[in-house]
Amino acid sequence: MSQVVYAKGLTKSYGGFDAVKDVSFALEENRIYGLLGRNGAGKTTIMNMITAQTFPTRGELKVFGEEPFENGRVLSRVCIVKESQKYPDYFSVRDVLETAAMLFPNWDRAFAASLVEEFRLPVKRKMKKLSRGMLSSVGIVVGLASRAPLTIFDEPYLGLDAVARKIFYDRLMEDYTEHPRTVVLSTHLIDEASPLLEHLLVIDGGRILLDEDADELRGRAYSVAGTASKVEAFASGREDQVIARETFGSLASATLLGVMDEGTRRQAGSLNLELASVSVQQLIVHLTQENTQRKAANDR
Amino acid sequence: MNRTLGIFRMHWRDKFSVLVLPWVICGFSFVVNLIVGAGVRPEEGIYTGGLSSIYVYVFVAGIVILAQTFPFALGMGVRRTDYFWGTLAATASSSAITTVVLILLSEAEAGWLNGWGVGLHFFHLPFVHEGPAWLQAATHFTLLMTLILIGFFISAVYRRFGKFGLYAFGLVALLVFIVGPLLLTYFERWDDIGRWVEANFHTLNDLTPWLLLVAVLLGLGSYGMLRKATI
Amino acid sequence: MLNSMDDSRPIFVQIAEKIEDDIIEGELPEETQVPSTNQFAALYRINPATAAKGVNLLVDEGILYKKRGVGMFVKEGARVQLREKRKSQFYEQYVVAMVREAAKLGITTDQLTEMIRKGEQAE
Repeated sequence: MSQVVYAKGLTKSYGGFDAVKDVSFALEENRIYGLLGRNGAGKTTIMNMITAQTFPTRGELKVFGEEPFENGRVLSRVCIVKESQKYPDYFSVRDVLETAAMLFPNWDRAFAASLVEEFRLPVKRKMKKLSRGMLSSVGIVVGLASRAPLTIFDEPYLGLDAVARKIFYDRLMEDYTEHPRTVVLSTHLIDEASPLLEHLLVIDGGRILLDEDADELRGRAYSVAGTASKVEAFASGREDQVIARETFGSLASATLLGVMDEGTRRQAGSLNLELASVSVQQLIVHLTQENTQRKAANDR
Repeated sequence: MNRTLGIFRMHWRDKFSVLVLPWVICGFSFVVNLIVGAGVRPEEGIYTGGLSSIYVYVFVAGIVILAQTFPFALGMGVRRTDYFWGTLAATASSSAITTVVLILLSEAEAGWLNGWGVGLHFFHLPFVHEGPAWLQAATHFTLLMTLILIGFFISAVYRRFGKFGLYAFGLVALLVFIVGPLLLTYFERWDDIGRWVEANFHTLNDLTPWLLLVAVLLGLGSYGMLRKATI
Repeated sequence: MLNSMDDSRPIFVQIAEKIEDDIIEGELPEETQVPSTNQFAALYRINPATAAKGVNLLVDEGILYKKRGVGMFVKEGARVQLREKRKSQFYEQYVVAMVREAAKLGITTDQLTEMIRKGEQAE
């Protein structure tokens, strides 16, 4: 499988602040990636560097094996859809789509037209008169109909309701199976997007916290809940696995990295603790929180 | 499709702002002058600078075009180079059309329309419209392009260096235009300048080579800044 | 709900289990074709690569086999094989847990047997 994006020691500094610090990763062809992390973690900066909209301060970045900056061979194969995308005020929806049709070599007019219908987009309306959700829909139509070999969606669905998001997921998966391409999806809605993602990159504080297949993370952690003293008894001896702890008066819960095997089941049962599996979203929330706390502790 | 051509066609999607709006503004100014002219009818005719509205318009358009379309084009994965040349081609083509219309109106006003019957000199002015038509056309085309590129350059400063870059640029420009004349006054060189202008510039056509130079410099400067501009 | 999958367990395992259930319940008789990876992906809105992993798991276990150029089929004897596998899982997951819970509540083995009989009648 060939690499679509290759980054090594990638760093982006603004003044003295490192938005992206020494990041290394690779994206392989025709897979769907999730780029996850909290706001300000550096996700957008990474995507802007991949699309040469901003420049790395240090490090190596190859897209389709080449430097992306002012490189037509690279840029014509990339489409980025972002929440902050600017459109000319005087452009109508149709103007945007017609322009995209001229600029993206793989553009599918029929597909674009059917998406416009599904999202109920008013093609004659000016972009500045669109609601937030409609604006997001336009981005999604461009992203899907461009069929770019590398398509990046950066928080593509601000203002979209559940029905519209479902249309997005459905059409994305349908079209992806017919026209495989590399997709990067950056989102906060991990729970609903997770099943679509094959591989996850979790960014925190400008660094890569996790770079793993999504299925590897499902069932990677579990939580126990019950009387505080019993939870402590369970956690002792597993201290290095504990990634989160919460107490509510005399009750407590702990989240641990590890597999819920027969041994843990039995011990939790004998201690009268409630065992539960942890979803990818919960796991990532815990990991990014823990990372922040550890950093705060180190700074002290 | 060639992406430079794509950018060219992107600009031409907004035909109203390119083909209609400037003439609506210019036409409004013309109608006002025509009414005044019809009412007053002075012996020597009316000479008016209403035509300048079209040049002010393209200057503003130069600023707006870049501000509105550059971030969009970059978001669509267009190279900065392709954006620059596509945009230059689009502005050149619209300037060419404007030039042809201006020259036709000028010839008509001076010729068979005979000052619109009221002695109004709106499209055909002394100093501005002198010499053969092709030379007038070259002059007006260059003037239009220079004004667009001034706007373009200012917008490019903002894109490349941000708000403070634009302030700094404005400050420098202001200083040049204030301190320059002050220095000329101080060293008593105004007369020399006056003599030089008198000797070299008899019509607007004499200014054209200089405008061309300025336009090229502005173009190169804008290109250099856009190459390094980020979103 | 946008998801039909449990995001706290590997999805390829869940896909394998769904196919197994269909085979055990007779929805997917032996020697019939299993839906394609893309069909699974579209139906459950999951990544096709993950769906493929689930299908391949069953190929490795000898439940499914590949007919070149056609697709995946249920192997002969798959149903029996799966039943045996599920029976041992049943013991681990349900019987052991039940006996433990019963001991905690002071339920004797006789009482437990009686309860099971009652449960059968209620069915």
